[in-house]
Amino acid sequence: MSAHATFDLSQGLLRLSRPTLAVLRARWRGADHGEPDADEHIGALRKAGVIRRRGVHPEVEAALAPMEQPACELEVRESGRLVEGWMSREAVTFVYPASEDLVDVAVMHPSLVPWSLASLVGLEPRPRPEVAIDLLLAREDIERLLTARTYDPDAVRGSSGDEPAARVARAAEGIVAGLRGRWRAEARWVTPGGRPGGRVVEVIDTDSGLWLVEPGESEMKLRAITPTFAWRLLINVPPWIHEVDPDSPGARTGARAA
Amino acid sequence: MTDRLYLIDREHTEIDSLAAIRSLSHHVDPEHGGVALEQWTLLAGPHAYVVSASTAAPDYDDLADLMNRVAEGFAAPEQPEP
Repeated sequence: MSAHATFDLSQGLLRLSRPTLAVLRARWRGADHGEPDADEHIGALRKAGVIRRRGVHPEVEAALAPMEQPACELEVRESGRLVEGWMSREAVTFVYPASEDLVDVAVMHPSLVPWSLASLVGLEPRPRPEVAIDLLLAREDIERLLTARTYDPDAVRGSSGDEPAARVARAAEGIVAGLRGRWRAEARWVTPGGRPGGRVVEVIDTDSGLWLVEPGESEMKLRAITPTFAWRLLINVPPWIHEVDPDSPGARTGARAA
Repeated sequence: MTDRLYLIDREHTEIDSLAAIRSLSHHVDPEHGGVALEQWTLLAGPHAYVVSASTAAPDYDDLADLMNRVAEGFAAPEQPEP
């Protein structure tokens, strides 16, 4: 799909094709959008009421501002679906895939970020794992466990080192048997020293509970966690203001950088 | 969707040696934005009690331990002998 734009002000719903969104962003920042059929995109945006005689609709401007001047960028992956976000101290904009060709653009208050991340990854009540031990295994063994839904008993062990093999096996079998999916929430920003900063939360979701994926030096640790603990981790994915370069445009205007 | 109560967690626990259910949810306050609401519900004799604590959603991680200590300190009033 090329040019497409619909704007339902009453629902705050802006739906666009990705090329139309690129043209809109470029026009808003006064840059050359480089799209060969820009007029078609501009026409669709005008028809939808996104671009008016006096410029971009203020509700849409509010969504574009964090995208162009973010304090941090967000990325949420859940079962193959990717949602991107841009966060300033004043607002957060998310771009969700609506179909193969279209995206929905939504802007919200930064205080709604924890809820947004939680709902995007499907965080909800889960039982506590029957065998709540930490498991150690190689990254490729985690991939095998998640994709082939099988595991090599020799490749999985308890983190305490003296965990009975039967308990380790029950924990691993519980993951394989009740696997719902995996999700990952990530924030990226520029630190005050100008270096890349970021934080990631990666979780395996199963019928018998949640498992946090923690990278180690040579192995990965799967740690049984509660939905409450996952919520606390999601709250802390975005940076605090002292973690962000004060010269980042989105950090200037607004204790949480975002 | 943001106007709905979003249930994050629910578990059986104990308050004052009584069986209780703890729930953590999220809702939106039109004035203050995202709110995290934690509740402990328990039965003591003929009465039901709900201990509720809420905070701005981004502040939950800072205040959760305090909220839990307050809830754990709840003591149901003594029931008169029938």
